[in-house]
Amino acid sequence: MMRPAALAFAMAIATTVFVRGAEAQPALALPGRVELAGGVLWMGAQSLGSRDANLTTGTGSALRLFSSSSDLAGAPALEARVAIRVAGAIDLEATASRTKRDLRTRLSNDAENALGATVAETVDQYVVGAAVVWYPQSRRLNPRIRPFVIAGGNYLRQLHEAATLVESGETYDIGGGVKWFLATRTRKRMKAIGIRVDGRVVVHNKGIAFDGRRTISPAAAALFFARF
Amino acid sequence: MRRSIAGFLAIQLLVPANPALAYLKFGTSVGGRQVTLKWAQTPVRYFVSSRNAVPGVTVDDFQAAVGRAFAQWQSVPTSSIAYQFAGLTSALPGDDDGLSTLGFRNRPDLDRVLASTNFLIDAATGALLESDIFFNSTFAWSTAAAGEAGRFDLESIALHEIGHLSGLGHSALGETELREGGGRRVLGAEAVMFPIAYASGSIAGRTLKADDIAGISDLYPDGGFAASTGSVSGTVTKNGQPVFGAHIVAFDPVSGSMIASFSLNAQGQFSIDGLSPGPHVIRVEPLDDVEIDSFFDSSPTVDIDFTVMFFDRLVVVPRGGDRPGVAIAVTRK
Repeated sequence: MMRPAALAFAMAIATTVFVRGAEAQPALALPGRVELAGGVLWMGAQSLGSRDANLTTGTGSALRLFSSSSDLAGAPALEARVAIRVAGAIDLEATASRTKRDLRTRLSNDAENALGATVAETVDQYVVGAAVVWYPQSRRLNPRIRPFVIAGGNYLRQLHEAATLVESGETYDIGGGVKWFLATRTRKRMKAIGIRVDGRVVVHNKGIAFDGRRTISPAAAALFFARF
Repeated sequence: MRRSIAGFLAIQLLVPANPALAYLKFGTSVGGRQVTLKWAQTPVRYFVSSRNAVPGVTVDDFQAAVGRAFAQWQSVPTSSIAYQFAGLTSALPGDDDGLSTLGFRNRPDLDRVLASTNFLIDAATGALLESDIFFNSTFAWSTAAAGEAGRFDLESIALHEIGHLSGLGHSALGETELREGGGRRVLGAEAVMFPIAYASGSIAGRTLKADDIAGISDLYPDGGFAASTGSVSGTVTKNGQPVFGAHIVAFDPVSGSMIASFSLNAQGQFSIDGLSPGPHVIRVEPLDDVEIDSFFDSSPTVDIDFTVMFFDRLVVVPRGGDRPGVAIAVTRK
């Protein structure tokens, strides 16, 4: 535990650093107020847990007939984002993505020696949501490169193979990345174009969730953008 | 009929021409057509025989144990079946008196039969009129809450026989091993309607499983059963030829439950009803853990010469519908 004198000293240092930083790094305006972006999102594999197919013995204990473990395989998705600047360093985004993912179940340890197998079906996945993008200020960076932090919430809709069944849920993601401005023009309608890359941690709630728990998976995106 | 070890065929099972009928149900021929045996009216009124109590089980013990077993079947929310205790009777089970009676009978000649259910049927409609269950007092019985070593649990066996009384046949969801002295020992089962009982002392058979619940709900559907569940159907073939009597298990990787059926006609067609919507693993195995005559009469040829295997796709069961066309090709051992 920090003693009161030490705490006061630490707060003083922190305040000083913040004030000096604010003085040294005035806000850098982003070109344009509206951004359109589209590209590829890689959605990492999402573990759905394991479950045994059990028989009940005479003592009431479980006798495993075979084992299963399931996941949603990693897959590329198409992603589109529309952003509007709401403050000097903050954009609000509307987002949408679509992908097809394999729902896989690995089968093993069969009590009657059935060959192990991985069985799968294809899931059609749609995500729509909103996000906040914050651009930290720093003059030390190359002016063509703008790091950002992103956090958002999404509605998730998953259609099992041949649209036999629909499942819905939510995802929440947080991450960060950089935007690389390839060209900026102050007097044209299109103010800038560039490439955006980011990495995210995605929390899934409901949707295809075998054990009913929230699951976490990684995601990474590379998108072209244009600002107006 | 429930046997301590595998024995002879005593149950005439319906082999439906239409495989949309899942599970094994009792059937009879009425006017040249097969009809499923079931009660036309519920509650099914049953009597308890006041004769032939056995050591360790009074008539009151007996009535309480079978009452708990009836209550379990009746509590299935997706089934409309209901039962009513009508009183004690001096009649014995097996008497054709219009009363459905449960009680003990001493049958030392049936040295592998723990209990048996028989029926009186309306020959014009196929409706059940009477069904009696006898428990063989040749064996030692118990109604103790935790079971008793060396005694068979009456509640467990009653639960199985009441499934028959309601019209259900046997399930093959279990694994056995051969005993040195003949017969089979149950390693594990996942259906009360598995035809071989657990060893004496066990009370593991007191709880209905997913397969039992699907079966009784299929026979007496209620509570949105059809709308809230789905089915899979398809064929089992070997070298391009239909396989009769293959045991097909649908495993739900979400809940871990298993519900099973058989390929039930000359085209090798099967259907499994009462499945929860969502992805399922389909596993096929030969019917080699129990004597075949526990499931089918001797007329069809049941093929057990193939290896256990998994269907090569996850099968998604729709809500309130059928997922057809699951074509399973098995290979010879």
